Amino acid sequence: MKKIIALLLAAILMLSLAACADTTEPTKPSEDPKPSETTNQNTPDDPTDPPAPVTAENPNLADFVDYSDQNWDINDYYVSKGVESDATIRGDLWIVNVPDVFTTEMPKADKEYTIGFSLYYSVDEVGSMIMETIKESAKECGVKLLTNDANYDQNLQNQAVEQWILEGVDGVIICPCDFYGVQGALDALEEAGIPVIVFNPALAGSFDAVCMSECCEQGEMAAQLLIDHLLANGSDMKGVVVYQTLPFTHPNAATRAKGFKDAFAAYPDIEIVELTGTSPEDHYTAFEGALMNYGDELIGAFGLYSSATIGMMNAAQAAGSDVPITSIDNDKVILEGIYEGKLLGSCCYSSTAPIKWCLSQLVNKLNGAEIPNVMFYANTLVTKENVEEMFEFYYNGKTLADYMAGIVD
Amino acid sequence: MKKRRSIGQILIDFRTILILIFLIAIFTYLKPVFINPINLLNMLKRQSFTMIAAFGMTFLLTLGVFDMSAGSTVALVGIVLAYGLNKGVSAAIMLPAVILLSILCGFINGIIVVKGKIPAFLTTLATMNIYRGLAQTISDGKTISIKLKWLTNLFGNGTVFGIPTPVIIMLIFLVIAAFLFYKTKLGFYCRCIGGNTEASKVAGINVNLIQIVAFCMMGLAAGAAGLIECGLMNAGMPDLGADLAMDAIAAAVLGGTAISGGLGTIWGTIGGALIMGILNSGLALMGAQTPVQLLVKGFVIIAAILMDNMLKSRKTVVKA
Repeated sequence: MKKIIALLLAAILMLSLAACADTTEPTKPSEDPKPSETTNQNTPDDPTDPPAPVTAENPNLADFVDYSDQNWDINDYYVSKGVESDATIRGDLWIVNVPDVFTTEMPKADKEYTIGFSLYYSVDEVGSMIMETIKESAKECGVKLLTNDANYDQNLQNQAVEQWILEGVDGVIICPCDFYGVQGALDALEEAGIPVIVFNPALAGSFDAVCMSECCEQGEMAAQLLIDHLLANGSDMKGVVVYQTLPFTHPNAATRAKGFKDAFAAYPDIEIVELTGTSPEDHYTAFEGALMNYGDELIGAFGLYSSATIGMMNAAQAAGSDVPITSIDNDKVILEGIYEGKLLGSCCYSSTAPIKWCLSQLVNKLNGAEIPNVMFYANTLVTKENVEEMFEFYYNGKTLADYMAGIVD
Repeated sequence: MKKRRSIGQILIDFRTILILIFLIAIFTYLKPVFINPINLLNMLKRQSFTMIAAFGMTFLLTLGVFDMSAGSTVALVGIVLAYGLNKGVSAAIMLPAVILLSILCGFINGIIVVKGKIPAFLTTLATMNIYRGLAQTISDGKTISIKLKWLTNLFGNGTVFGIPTPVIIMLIFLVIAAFLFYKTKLGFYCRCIGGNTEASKVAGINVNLIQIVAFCMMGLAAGAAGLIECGLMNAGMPDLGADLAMDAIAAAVLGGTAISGGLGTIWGTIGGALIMGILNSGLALMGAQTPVQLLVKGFVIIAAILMDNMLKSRKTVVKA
């Protein structure tokens, strides 16, 4: 009997919660089905306000370089690389390349906006730099920042966004845990009429703007470095080149691999072999196997992301191999490897600039300025020639020499 | 004549509720928006699949076994569903098919444990890899989106009278699990077997059959959890449910189910899952970063279990 009463009470409580939820919802769904008109023009404070016209000029205009391919489409881009994509970028496309260094100033908020920022993970070198950078930049812009570290859990990220909607945030920046699973959060924000910028693309749902890298270009740059090295050393361009990636299809990995393979398409006598793993240990083991299997046939290797490169670099060193390796990512160990000649080079990008672009453009949008809705951040090839300079640049003035001497972490 | 219960006894009986009230009060004080009904319903929605899996796990833990493959079953169910739908198979076929698949996953676990006489931990550790590997193979490692909006709403993003559908599904499972656990021979036999397997055999209980049934129920619960997770994510994902088994075990144990078997409680399990959900929701609202969240959750779980043990030992003394 007691259990039945308990169940009845639970049902009543649930219905009461639902009833309260209906009446206390802080934001009202947009009645206009066209997202470009609802989210681009509403003032963030109250989505039910009449649409505000674009009144301010974007103060970062001088830093934007219009992207040459105006036919670019996010879904076509990914689908052509074998990655499913059904995303919507709101408004007319304005695609730009953004630099690593602002020549213009970070915008000042017209009033103290509250902005939510959810990051997939913050407890690693890149994640912690992103988190620190946005906190500092938020102070510079004069906005209140709410942060969330989703710990690679898309459910937690979606939960944080739902909570921010309840707290009445003015805008949100999401660095998705999962490029598809983030749709739940994006749908909720769209319904609440809150502008959102994604750092790295979302491949489902709709958003106001995206700041992303041209991953195909990253793969091409890493490949070109290897090709130039082989040609310069008199290679007959025959043999095997291995690359290491993840065992599942990550959009960034798929596009990087496509760029790499496309660059080698001109050399049909070179067989491109894919190896997979998730941890540096996996990649170490896989590359050790490749060195044994292919022997002298192996003329080059490519680590598609940092764990792959680190595993390969150590396996090569342990085996006494001098197979040239190229990479993507700029972990300190990788830059050290370039300096010591263990790696030919790596295609790198700033860990801090993209998030500053996300925040600055969200503030501009909230201030009423028009913003670009696709921002490609810069890729830079780092080799032995510029590695010391780039280390200082990517790590806020810390030097590679100090790092190698153990003076800085 | 019924004996009146002392305050101490009431505290012992309602310890999980007291912990819940304490946590709710703390988080509401620190972040008033925590108590907003929408936030509470969202929290229940996000915790619903863990709760369903934890109901299944409660039966297994009471038997003295557990299932590490539950999360992989979630991934497999989601991928098979999304794959089938994308190939044009009707949802009317795919839904029963994946439910049967999830039961089959549980059945395979059960049959290997019972007939192969392999400990459940090792068996399900192996099948955890097999089911995950299958999900990755079928999907080629890709996320497969589910385009049928009504389906994702049915299991994940929809509401009925303002209540999220995952919460309703969870409540249905709660009623069924409570009925089976407390009102049928199945629940009684689970407690008997977990308490003393040999004595249960002597008493004529078909231990093997009960174990297989419990694993099948766990499979079904994981399948339902998988449908909810797919609904919430609008997609089948090969990496879905990675932490589900551990979360379900933690919820059950936190609620008072003994990991050594013989003692289980469905009501406690839902309390345990709620404690975890409230911690997740509250800490997220506080803006706590991963290390802080892990530390707080770890300490709260240890504190709750220690308190539970202390109260139980006190209860034993009181009874003695």
